[in-house]
Amino acid sequence: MARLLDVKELETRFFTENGVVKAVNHVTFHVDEGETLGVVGESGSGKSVTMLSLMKLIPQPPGKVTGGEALFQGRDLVQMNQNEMREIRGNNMAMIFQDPMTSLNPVLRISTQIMEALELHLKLNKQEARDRAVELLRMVGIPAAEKRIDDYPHQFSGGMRQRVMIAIGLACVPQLLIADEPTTALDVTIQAQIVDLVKDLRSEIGMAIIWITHDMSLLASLADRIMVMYAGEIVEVAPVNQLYENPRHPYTIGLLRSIPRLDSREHERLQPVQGFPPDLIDYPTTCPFMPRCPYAISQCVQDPDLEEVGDRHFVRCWVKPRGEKVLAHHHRVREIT
Amino acid sequence: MLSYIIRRTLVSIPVILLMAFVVFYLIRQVPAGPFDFVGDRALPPAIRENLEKRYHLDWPLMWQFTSYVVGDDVALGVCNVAGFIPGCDIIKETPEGVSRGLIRGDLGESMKQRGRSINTIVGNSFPVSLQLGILSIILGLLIGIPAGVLAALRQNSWVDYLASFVAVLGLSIPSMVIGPVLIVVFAVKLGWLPAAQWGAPPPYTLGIIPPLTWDFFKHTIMPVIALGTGLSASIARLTRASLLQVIREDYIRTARAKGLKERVVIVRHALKNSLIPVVTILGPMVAGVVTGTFVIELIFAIPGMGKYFIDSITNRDYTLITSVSVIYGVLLVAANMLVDITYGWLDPRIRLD
Ligand SMILES: Nc1ncnc2c1ncn2[C@@H]1O[C@H](COP(=O)(O)OP(=O)(O)O)[C@@H](O)[C@H]1O
Ligand SMILES: [Mg+2]
Repeated sequence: MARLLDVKELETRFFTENGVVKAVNHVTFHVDEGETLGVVGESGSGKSVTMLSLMKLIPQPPGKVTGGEALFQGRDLVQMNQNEMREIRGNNMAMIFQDPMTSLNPVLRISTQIMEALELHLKLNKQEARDRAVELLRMVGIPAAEKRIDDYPHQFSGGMRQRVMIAIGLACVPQLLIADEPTTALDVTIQAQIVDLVKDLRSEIGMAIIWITHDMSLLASLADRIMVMYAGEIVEVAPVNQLYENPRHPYTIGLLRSIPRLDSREHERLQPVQGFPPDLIDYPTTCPFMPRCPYAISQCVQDPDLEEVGDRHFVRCWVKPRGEKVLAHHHRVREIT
Repeated sequence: MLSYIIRRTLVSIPVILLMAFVVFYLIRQVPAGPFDFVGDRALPPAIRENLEKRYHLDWPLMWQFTSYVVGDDVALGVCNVAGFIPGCDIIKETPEGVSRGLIRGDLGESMKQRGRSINTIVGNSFPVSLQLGILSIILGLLIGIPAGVLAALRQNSWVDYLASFVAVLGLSIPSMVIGPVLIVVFAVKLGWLPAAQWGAPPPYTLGIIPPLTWDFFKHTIMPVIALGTGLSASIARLTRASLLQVIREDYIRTARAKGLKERVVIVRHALKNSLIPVVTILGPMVAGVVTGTFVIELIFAIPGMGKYFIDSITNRDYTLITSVSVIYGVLLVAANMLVDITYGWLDPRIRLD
């Protein structure tokens, strides 16, 4: 499959009063056409900032992409100016966000909010844009779409609003959809519906997806590969089965352990990764995970590089422990989801 | 919408009547009455008594107010039918006076400018005050909103600092200073503009719209600037703060993610939201403009209603005070209703029913 997005050594900083926040550090990854890449990591690990950097949506100041390149369909997004980027945003590359309650403009009709992208990028006239918007709403499963299209966001439920967001994201049939925790704010049954919807649409449209989440179990049935981020770095990336069955980074192992066991009868205690992530202003020169790492050795005072340990499987760790069979329960999670 | 307006109007009637009663009552508690003096001369007791009778000042207070609200004929009629009501014994003796009743559209007769109907006084002076007030608010919005938007978009640039500086200046210099300064510069020194009076006498089209002549404008420019700068300063500050807040909202990021031009993002997605708090302060602002017109009308010798309001208090012109207060009350109620309607139009989450 052809490369759609190729990110190399991406680096994003926030220049704040308290110091320089090293939010994204030498991030290197790629997405192939039609592929779904899952991105996990605890809150603050730089998932959103990485994607916003690609979209050129970092608030600037204080933020700035300070290094690296990001080839999208062969063109470097980092070097582009806002005008060039605007033609790609919402057109070839779309992004949907975590909170559907705040991500739609409360004072504009749904019709306006969908149609404006169509009129802008596809040069449709009002009537064509409206017809297409109704079609999109139907596609994302909004009942009575031709009636609801002139409603305001507050007249929709959270799940319905996220469907509207997806309709906006897919309006111009992008080659890449970035979904930043699109289901985190929704309750579990709605989450599953949204995931199913995206799976259907993905095969229909054939787009690539970057799906950010901190819920690993959700990715099992959705992603082709998973990328794990910690403190603004990529610590492990691997095909989905490989990552679940043979995780090699201590942080990934910790994350997998913290997934609730759906098959357990009693309310079993989760085992979250102990400790806290490092201060991104006073960034350690050691491996950033070292203070929390049960496998740490003396070599870990140096930050390791990403190393290939198997087919498309990369790990940033000196130890690269073999995951014990703590993950056996996980297969059941995958069968259920 | 229409039913909302009707309902709001009906609800506000008791409020205005209560306010009228409070003014009606309080002014009568202030020492000295309307007929104690004419100029410096004390009136002979006999004449004074006659006059007080004419305006029913000898009636019990509740009956005075009743007759102010519904008219003498109704008050007398009630007493003729049901004479047992306390106070009716006094009332039945008296001839019918001048009040036709507020609810029948009669604001009464001035006690000091004897024989002059307050309807005529208000009819001639209120439109002038209203023109001054409305034009000042329009100026405030026309300068304040763009200045605030510009300052927000160029946050922490020299444009922002300049706008903030001018806004603080505009807020801290009261109109009673700006007014005379304008007069000295543009009327006295340069002789470009007239220092006083109003350029177009009533009657006006639809009772309010002035003729759009140069004569009208040259008389309006300075008073409107004097009153409007303070308004534009507070509107600019609020618009700036509100827009800076809105720009950080998630839906603005969504709009940018669509690839919209920055101008479209601001105008279509941010501006309407950021005007919601601006509209909310317009209600209280109208009250401020009303008091502002008192001062400005005095400085520029504008024949508006403010002069009558102030004179009526010093003169103890009981009826005029009450009726002018009622007019201001109605104005504030109407302004707040307009604000709420605008608010509902800007923000679809607010339902007006
Ligand atoms: N506007 C900003 N100013 C300063 N720091 C920021 C800003 N936005 C994000 N950051 C920092 O960047 C880091 C990564 O954030 P983010 O990418 O949102 O994490 P997540 O993985 O939860 O999406 C966080 O430590 C956050 O504090
Ligand atoms: Mg995030």
